[in-house]
Amino acid sequence: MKKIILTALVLFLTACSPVKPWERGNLALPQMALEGDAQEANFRQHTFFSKESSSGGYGGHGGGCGCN
Amino acid sequence: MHHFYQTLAGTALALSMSMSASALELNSVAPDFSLPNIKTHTVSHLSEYRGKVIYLDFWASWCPPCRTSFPLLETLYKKQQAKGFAIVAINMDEESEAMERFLTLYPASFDVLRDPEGVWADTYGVEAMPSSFIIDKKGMIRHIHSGFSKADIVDIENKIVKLLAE
Repeated sequence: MKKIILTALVLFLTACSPVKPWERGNLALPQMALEGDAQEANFRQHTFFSKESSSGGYGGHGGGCGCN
Repeated sequence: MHHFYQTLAGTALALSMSMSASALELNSVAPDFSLPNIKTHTVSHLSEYRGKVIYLDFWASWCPPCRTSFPLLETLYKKQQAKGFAIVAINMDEESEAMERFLTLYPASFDVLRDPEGVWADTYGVEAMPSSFIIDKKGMIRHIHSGFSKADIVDIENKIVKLLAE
């Protein structure tokens, strides 16, 4: 039984294919942004580094746009 | 039993790997595409533009650099059109409504074609959105440009003017 499930899982891996650059339209939707509201995100980051006296590590301005 | 898991792991590795198309080489022949033209409602072929310098642009409505590029390209097109310059903008949107909305905001007098399946984007090896190929009068790819920023238009115009003079 375990063998059947495992084999099925492996075969389903064929559905994993790299996303082509022009198929990233859905990633560019506003609701897909990592941080929905840039101002709010900025405010939270400011609060964080004020309280924790450490900052950074979140890789820059509000995520990518699905373009490059 | 151990052999079974080995085989499974090997199969998984093999199946999850896939070949990705590489961008076309410079100075190679540009593949002759056939795609529907949204204005004439007929099929347009690259060969129809032979003898002109073509700016072939793969774009989509969801791509912010495309919003930057369209007004600049429209200006460039109007300026150089009479000298034998053509722009062919291939839209990659899955839904044409999104493309229509974009074109209402950023009108284009140059040719816009549709390639929602991505067949020709694949053939041309598009790796970023937008990507453009500058094709000379003989149908050879002379420049490949990935992405777009406002300053790029100056360089593009210089290249076009040089190729028009050939």
